[in-house]
Amino acid sequence: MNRDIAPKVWIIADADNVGTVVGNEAPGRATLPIIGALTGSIETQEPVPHGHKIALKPLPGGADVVKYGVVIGRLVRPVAAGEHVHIHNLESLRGRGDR
Amino acid sequence: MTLKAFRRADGRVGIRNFLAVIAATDAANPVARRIAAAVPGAVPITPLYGRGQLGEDLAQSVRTMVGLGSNPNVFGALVVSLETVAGSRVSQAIGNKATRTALMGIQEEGGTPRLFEKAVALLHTWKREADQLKRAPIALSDLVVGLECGGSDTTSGLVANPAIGLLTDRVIDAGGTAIFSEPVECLGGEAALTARATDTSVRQHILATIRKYEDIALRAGVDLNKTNPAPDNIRGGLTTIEEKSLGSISKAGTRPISGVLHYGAAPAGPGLYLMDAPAPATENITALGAGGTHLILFATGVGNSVGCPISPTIKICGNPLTCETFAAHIDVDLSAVITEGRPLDSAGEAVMAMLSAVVNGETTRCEALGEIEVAISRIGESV
Repeated sequence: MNRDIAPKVWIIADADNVGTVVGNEAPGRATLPIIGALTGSIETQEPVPHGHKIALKPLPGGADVVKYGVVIGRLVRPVAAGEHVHIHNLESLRGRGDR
Repeated sequence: MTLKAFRRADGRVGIRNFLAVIAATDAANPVARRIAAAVPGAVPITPLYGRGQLGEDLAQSVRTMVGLGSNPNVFGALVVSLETVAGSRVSQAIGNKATRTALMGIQEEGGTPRLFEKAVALLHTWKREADQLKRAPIALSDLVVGLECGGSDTTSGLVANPAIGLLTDRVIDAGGTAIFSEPVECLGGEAALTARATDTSVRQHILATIRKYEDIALRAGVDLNKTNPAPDNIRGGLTTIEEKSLGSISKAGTRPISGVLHYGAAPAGPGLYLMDAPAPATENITALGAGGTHLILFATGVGNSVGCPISPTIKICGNPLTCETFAAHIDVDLSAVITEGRPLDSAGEAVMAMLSAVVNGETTRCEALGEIEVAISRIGESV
C-alpha cells in the first residue's frame, strides 16, 4: 500500500483460521484489530505485508488452513497465533493429486 | 429503491433502449462505427472477421452476434455487412427478440456513404420510438446479472469479489439469474464449486469445463497447476491455487449452481450459471452480454477500463490507491473496508445501491466515457 493505512486483519468467513493483513505492512509484535466476519484483536509474531495471512490461533503441523470457509491448503509445520502463513509453511493439496 | 425498467413484448425487461449497430462482417466495421457515432443511444458492435469461418467457430460467432442483438437492453438491432447473405444469418436469428431489426449490405446499398445516410435516418426513427417508452416497476427476479473480475490484485479476492457475492446471493434468493465465468480462474476451486452443483450432470459439466482450459494450456506447453499462483500473486500474499481461485469464485456467492452455459448462450431459466468463456475481460463480457445480462458487476484491483456495449458494466474496487488514481473508471469505491474497517455488509449495500441506480438509468463510467468494446473468441481458423 502506498498510502498510510493502519493495518487490520480481515476475516472473510467465520470458519476461517487465518486472516489477511490489509493496509500498511504490520510490524512484528503489533496488536491489530480483527475486522470482517470475526471481531477482536491479535498480536503479530513478525512483520506481515498487506495481503498476506496470519494464523488466528495456534495450529499443528498438518492442519487444514481455512479461508473463505473452505480448505485452501495444509500446514507443513505448526504455527503460533499471529504467525505469518505463506509458502514457507503452507502447501496446496493439489500437488498430492487431491481434486 | 424501486427498480424500474422497460417491459418488452416477450415479457423480458430492458434497462436501456440501445440501438445496436452490428457489423456481421468486418468490412462493415468502419461504417458501423460512423453510424453509431452519429446517433445518440446507438452503440457499435464491431467484432472482427465474419467470413471464411466454418463449423463450430462460425456457429459461436453467429450465436454471439445474435445474442448481443437479442439482449433485452437492445431496442433496435441494425445488422450491417459487406453483403446481406452473411448479415441475414444474424438479422433473421435476432428476429423479433429486438423490438426493431433491420439488415443493410454495403454492396446492396451501393457503398458505405449511401448506407450511412439510410442507416442514420432509420436509427433516428427508432430513437423517436424508443424515447416514447416508459419505465414500469420490476423485481430483482427480472434481472440477469453478469459477474466478472479483471485487473485483479489482492483486494479483488478480499473485498470486491466477496461484496459482489453478497449481491449474487440476493439476486438468486429473489428468483433472479446470475452468470459467472472464467473457468480457468476456477482451477483449484473445483471442490468448492462442484459441492454446489444442483445435480451430477452439472457437477461433471463444471469439472469438464475447467479441465478444458487446463488442456488448452497443456497443448501450448503450459501447466497451469505449476504456474499458479504466479510470482506476483505470491508477492501479493496468495499461497495456493485453491486460495487464488476462491478469490475469484467468491463473486458467485454461495447458492447452488444450476448449469454450465456455452459461450454467448442464454440460460433457459433463473438461477446461477457458469459460462464457458476465456478469462480476458473483453472476450468474457462479450460472451456474458450475448447471454442476456442486463448489467455486469466487474471487480477490479489495479484497474480495468473496458465495458460491454449492450450490458452496462459497473466497476467495483476495494483498493484505496486504485480508487484514487483510477477514479475516472471506478463506479463503486469499496476501499473503506480497508481504510476504516467497514464491514462487508456495508460494501454489499454499496454495490446494491449502484446496481439499483444503474438499472433505473444512471450511467456507468464505461458508458459515460465510451469505454465499450466487443471481442468474440475464435475457436477455429479462417479459410
